[in-house]
Amino acid sequence: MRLIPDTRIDFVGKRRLLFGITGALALAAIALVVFVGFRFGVDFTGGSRFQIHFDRPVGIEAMRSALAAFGDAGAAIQQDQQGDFIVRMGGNRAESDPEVLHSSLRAHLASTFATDSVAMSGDSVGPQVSKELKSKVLLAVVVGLIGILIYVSFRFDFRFGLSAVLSLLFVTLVALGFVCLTRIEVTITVIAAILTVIGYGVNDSIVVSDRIREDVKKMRKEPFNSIVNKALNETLSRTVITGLSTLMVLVAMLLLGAASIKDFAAVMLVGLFASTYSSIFVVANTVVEWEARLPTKGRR
Amino acid sequence: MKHVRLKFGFMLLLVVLAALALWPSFQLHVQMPAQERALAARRAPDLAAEELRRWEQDSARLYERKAGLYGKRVLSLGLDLVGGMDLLLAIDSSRLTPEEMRRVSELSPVALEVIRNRIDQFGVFEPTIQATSSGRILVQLPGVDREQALRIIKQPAYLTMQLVEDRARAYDALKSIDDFLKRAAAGETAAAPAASAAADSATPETPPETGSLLSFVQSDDRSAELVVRADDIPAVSQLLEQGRTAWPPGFEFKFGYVDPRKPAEFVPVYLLRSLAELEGGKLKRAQPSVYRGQDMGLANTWVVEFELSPDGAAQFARVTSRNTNRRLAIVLDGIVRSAPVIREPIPNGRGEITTGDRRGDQAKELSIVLNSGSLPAPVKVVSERSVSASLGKDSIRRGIVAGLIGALAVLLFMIIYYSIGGVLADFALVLNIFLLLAVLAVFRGTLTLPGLAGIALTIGMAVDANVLVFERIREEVRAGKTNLAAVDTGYARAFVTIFDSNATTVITAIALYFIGAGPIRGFAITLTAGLVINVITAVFFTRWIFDWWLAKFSVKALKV
Repeated sequence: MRLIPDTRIDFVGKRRLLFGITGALALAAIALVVFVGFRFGVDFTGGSRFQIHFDRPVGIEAMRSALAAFGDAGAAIQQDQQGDFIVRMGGNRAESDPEVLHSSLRAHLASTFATDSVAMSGDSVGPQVSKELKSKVLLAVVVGLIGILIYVSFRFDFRFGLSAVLSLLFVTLVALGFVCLTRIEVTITVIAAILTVIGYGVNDSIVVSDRIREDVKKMRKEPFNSIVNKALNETLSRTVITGLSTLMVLVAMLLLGAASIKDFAAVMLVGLFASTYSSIFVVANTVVEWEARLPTKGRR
Repeated sequence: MKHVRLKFGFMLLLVVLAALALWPSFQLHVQMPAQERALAARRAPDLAAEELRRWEQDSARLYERKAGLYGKRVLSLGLDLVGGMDLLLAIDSSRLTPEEMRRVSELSPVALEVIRNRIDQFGVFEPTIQATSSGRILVQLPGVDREQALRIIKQPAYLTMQLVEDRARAYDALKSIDDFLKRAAAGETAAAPAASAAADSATPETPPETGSLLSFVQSDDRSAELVVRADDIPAVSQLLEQGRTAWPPGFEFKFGYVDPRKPAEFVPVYLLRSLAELEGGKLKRAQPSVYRGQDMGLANTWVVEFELSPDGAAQFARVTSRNTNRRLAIVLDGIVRSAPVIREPIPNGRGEITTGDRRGDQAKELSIVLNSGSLPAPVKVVSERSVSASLGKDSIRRGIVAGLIGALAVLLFMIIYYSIGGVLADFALVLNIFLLLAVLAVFRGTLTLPGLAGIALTIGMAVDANVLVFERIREEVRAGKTNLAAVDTGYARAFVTIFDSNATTVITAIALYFIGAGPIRGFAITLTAGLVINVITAVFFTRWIFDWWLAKFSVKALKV
């Protein structure tokens, strides 16, 4: 069976248009990050987040008045399809003592709804810890990107390294923009999804770069543009098949997974599209543009 | 193909080794829960006494087996999957006295020791108790109820020194508790008055009945106290609790410390005088030091020097002069940490405990225990993550179902798209996951949600590796190469790509491991291990099978 026939699509010729689209997408993502911003989970802001399950149905209004009586009228309350509640409380309250808050909330809810079985999970994070986590994640990503730049520059050359990093930045931006747009709460799970997206992005860039490197060696006489075009067409089939396989798993997670898995899958899905798009349209074209302006020795 | 047998033998060996490595984890996470459910179902409220005894025995046996499995190299499930709690503690500086503020650097080790002392006796499987670089204490207790865990941790340390009764008295006390229990059991079942007479006439020479306290006690003449097997502590303390009314008045039983870092087979049981000879608050400070005395046998060993407050010194002088050559137990939160012999009266409030320890770690630990008396080291929770077991289970179940359905769809798609090549790819994929889990088990890894994300990415990269190979082979066949040559070139070319893409991803993973916090590390570890295995399974194993298949059946039309 074969889905993708031999193609001769001119990816390189339309690079100016593609740069425009890519740039616009990146700008839109930046605008979302800057103007809409993230909805950080308690891991990053400090404060408390509780997941609460009652053994009998409880309405959201009853929950709201119960929390108001607890002295937290400002708490954000959500109810999922299973009837479980997600309650978030600000950092100022958690500062006093996170575990006292957890225990007293549980006792309060148990007495308000006259039930003994309140299943409750909670994350409470102090302000210092959350600040540390934020900077650690950022540092890890930056160091990772520098590592990739060095490796790719060493195995290929600096142009490919920089193109790969640019492509990764684009993919990460799109994923972050999506997180802002949909107001998905930034938790450790969402961070894991973004890291996974970066992993996919690296993989896609390398596959395309590798093919260009190979074809350049084989066809020294051909103009650079047509070599790149040929390489892109050759890897198109692989790009589509791999993307489709990943898509299947993500769709299953999106339809069947629990809430946190759904967030993971949604971010991954958008990242997958961005990564596939950018491996075809961004990585190679950046190198082509570079080559057109600063040709390598021994070429035109 | 060269070395067919060698290559296939190597593959088979890896699979067998992986299966062996995963066997304890399989028992722990698949068989054990089923047995636990069956056991829970048997526990009806109206169980007859005989039934109840058998149930208790079975449940103790199951617990023992579980503890044994945790001692092996197994894969554990993270807090986010099984429930439990994860606490980050810091010294609560608002509750420190000026004296404690001066000794602030000693507080963290004391708090760590106090918490470890309690948790280790509590029977939590796979706890993490460690000092972080920022002077905080990280405590992870999988599968523990939240309220219970906080009770263990937040309670202030309580240190006492109590006199130890000698071995013979402890033995007699245990025997009379046994008699009491036997009478109670007889009275319950048959209400026969003859039973007590029979018990009284029993002589010490008759072997103790099974199930009695004395049957657990080992008579080891070399040790100064009675010992029981560490595994039997729950059973023995249950019996002791039942016979509490028969304890000699003014005395109590306490166990020695079980250190899970160096598991000992036997643990001493002490009969102590309930009234403390000295409260921990009267110890000013303690520190490890090298022995400087006259005894040549103790040269180059470590001792613990301690100093008492003025009223403590007077009290201690009285106690030591009256009880020379008796043993004085150092009891932290109900656990006997040490029971040194009083060699001579200590009149001035300064003394030392010889340990016979040449490396110094025992002396250091004991001095930290003694310091907990004067330094209660109050802790506060700076961050807490608690997952209710039932909520965790639901999300893991749904996540696994989703993952399995997605994976099955991919496996099916590969077969449809690449026919025989797809079967090979699927084999490599399944083998990849199997080997990855085995490696994680060998390194006692913990599976968390981010860890599962790492596995998902690994699977994606494994699919991609196979797709790269097969697309390349198709291209070569279209370019007019023979089957064998196409497979050869396909693998050779794809290898470069697969190696580079896996290597770059490993670089990211390594950066994440060294910089990232706990949950991010889980992601990095599974990813790195998975990618290394990926190169082996996708590039070598499928290739070997491919070559063998082409040669064996002299395939004409290559269907990839």
